[in-house]
Amino acid sequence: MMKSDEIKNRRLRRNAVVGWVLTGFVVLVFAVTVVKLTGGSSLEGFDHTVRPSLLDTDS
Amino acid sequence: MTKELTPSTEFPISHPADISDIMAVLKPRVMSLAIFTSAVAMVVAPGELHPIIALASILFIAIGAGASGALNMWWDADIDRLMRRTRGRPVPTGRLSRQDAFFIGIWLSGFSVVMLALSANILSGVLLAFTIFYYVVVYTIILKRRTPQNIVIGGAAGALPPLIGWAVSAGSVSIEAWMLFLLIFLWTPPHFWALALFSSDDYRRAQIPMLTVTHGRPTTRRQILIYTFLLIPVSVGIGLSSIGGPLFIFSAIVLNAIFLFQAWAVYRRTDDQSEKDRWAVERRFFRLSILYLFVQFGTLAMDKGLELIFVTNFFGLS
Repeated sequence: MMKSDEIKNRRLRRNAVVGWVLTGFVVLVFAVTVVKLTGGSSLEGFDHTVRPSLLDTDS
Repeated sequence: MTKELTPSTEFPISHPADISDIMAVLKPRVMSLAIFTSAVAMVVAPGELHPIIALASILFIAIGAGASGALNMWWDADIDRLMRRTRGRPVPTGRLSRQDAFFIGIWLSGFSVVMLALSANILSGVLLAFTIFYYVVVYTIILKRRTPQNIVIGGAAGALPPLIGWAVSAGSVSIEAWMLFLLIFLWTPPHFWALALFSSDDYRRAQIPMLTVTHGRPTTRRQILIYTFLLIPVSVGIGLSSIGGPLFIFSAIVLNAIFLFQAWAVYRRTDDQSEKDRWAVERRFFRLSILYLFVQFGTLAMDKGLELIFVTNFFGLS
């Protein structure tokens, strides 16, 4: 049988690893989302105004 | 054959499992092969791939490979404890229950397939799902305990990661990707049969019909030589294809010559000779087979790197 200290330590170690894994996963999903949305280029920050890239410059 | 999912009394459990046991059930060595071969395929395949997508895809392929390893350990717990090579694994030693191995495998399989399909494309997700299915159901459950051709047919599972990597980058699968598949497919029998030559007693004890058990070592030695011969045209073919380059062709010539020479040495030996030096030549051939695959894929990636440097520096293109 394992000592309760050993069981507690194992649980702590597992919980810490699970915490780090979940944090890493959130960061990764965020990074993938940004790449997917921007297609590799930077986001155009023109909320509530017309984006210059959408304007027809000839007219 | 039916298997119970609940932990059996044959495997005493010492809960809670340590994180190292959970990692071990994912078979890190098998994972590393899948990571390396799929990553190289991503590098050499046509198409532009963002580094973040590449990193995420490699991670999900690795998790998928680990999941299939966990399911393999779930199903094979009874024979793993009979073999010297595998009896220290988490399930036979009772450090992890069979039920835990099963659920780790199932959950991670679903997670990796869905995440790869979302982060890369549907095709790569489907290919990963097929790879896990093939390794667990076709190889582990159906073939492994039934036929000496288990690792020949089942070897396709280990050969699929380059196809997945290619699909991540190119969005489709071309002839070059299939040649990479064929290289690993034909490499698998010499690699595992070399291991079986000096682990035959293990397989006999576990009643696994490896070629060394069913047909004897002389036949196995001959088959190793035949498959090593078959590897040469595939390797040369890759060198002459669009993904081949000078480094790969040079290393392929040297490596195949050494590999064939060593396979010939294995073929020529008798069991008495092997017993005397404790299977030194067979063990060397086994180690060489690992180096063979590593160098073949490594030089493919290096050729691609050289090509990019050459095109960028001399033609000013990117």
